[in-house]
Amino acid sequence: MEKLYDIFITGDETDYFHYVSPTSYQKIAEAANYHNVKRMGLEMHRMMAELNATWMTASMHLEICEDIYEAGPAEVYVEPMMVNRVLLTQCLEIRRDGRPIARCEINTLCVDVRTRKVIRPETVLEHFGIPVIQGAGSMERLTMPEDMERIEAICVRYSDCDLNQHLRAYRYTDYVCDAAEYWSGAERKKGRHLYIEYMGECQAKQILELYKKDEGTGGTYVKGVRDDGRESFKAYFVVE
Amino acid sequence: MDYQAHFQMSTTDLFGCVSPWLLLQEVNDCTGYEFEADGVGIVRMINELGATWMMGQMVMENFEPIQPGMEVRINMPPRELHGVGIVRRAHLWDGDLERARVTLKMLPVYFTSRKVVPPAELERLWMTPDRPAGEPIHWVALPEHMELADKILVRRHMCDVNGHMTAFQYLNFICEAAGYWGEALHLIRRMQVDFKAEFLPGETLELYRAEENGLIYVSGLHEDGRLGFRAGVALDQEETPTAKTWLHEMGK
Repeated sequence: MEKLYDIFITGDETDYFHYVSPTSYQKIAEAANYHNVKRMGLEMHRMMAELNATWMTASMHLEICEDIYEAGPAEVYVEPMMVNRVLLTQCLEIRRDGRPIARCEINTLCVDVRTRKVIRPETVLEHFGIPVIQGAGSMERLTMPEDMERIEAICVRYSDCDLNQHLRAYRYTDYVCDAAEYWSGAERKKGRHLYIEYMGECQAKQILELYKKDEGTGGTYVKGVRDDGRESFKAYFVVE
Repeated sequence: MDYQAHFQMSTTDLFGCVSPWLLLQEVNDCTGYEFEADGVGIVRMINELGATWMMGQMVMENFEPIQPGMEVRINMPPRELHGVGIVRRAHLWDGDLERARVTLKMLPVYFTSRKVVPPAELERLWMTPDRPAGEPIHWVALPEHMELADKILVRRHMCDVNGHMTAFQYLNFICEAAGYWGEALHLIRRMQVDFKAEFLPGETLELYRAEENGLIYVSGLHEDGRLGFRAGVALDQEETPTAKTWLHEMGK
């Protein structure tokens, strides 16, 4: 792995229990992913200007290796970006004092801004003259249980949307953590793995219905269904 | 002292700009560093007084939009003592151009009782002198008639270690109610928030809105009628050109 840069995790990035939450790790991972994409020459401005395309997060697997309570420095390490079918995969590690505190696999899709149709990563990389490295496969698709319980409906807010005009990826993680009762009770739970697949984008003012099923062994399935009936995301969150 | 802030592309809002809440978060981080340098960092406050810092008031003035990729210098002069509160002023510079200014009135509050720490109690902790108090922050005067705009369930992901909804989250709700993220971007010329009574997870925040003399007023009430916060927002009359450019590129 190659060191990408140093970061400082501030107190404002900690949660209700003063720990770095899955959402905060995802923000760090997304920033690193964007930085690496830009470093490769695939930055958003260029993608827009030359291909009328943008990057969207397709799926993510976050592994929290160590609980971080205190604000302080950390380092971000990345592997080379790889192509896995229609996905561009970035694996990265966040370390403190040389020890991994979190690992993340982020899979992004290149999408036409207007039609929202997927553009194969090879097409993009070849267009910009960047060598294609084929990967050995990305995160497995999630299978949701059938008997999930509807828990609530959320109205998507403008403040939660990003430049792609849809609900930003890390906000789904907040919904998953809330649904899985990660922050409920007096005792903090230890989040260990979060798998999330983004399937149908949500725009501001849309209603997102949340469903969940607890496995009873620390794992919780959460999915979101839009008001038009289309699945928006699927997630599996594991606490210790 | 001076601090550097780099706003990344992955954090931009619908318009490709840096959101007000993100600006506030950056300034709040710098405020934390200033307090540490002054001897009243959060760890020392908790250990020696059982107290924490909470935001009492905030004023944000934007002169030019701050866009991602910019390296912004945040200049923070020494603190000012205003009654029981400490005022911190932050000037956000892009080269020689001051793009924004954020003023915070921070209150030292006992963690358990939620009462304000008297200045005399805090006196022994300061390691640096104050500077003379500058212009005070007046209170927002709400219009008499305001309409219910929204009801919001306060969720745990919106809350911080103080056990309440974060100040940044208030800004999102205020900006939405003020119409900041409408069809086009109108820069927030001035926004003031008076934080009055904290919102806890599970509570419902009732958001009220009114418009008077070109200003937008937003208030947040608890279900029992207590005032949670009040805010005044002045949006630029003109559309901000950067937003037009971005929206055109996004195929809108």
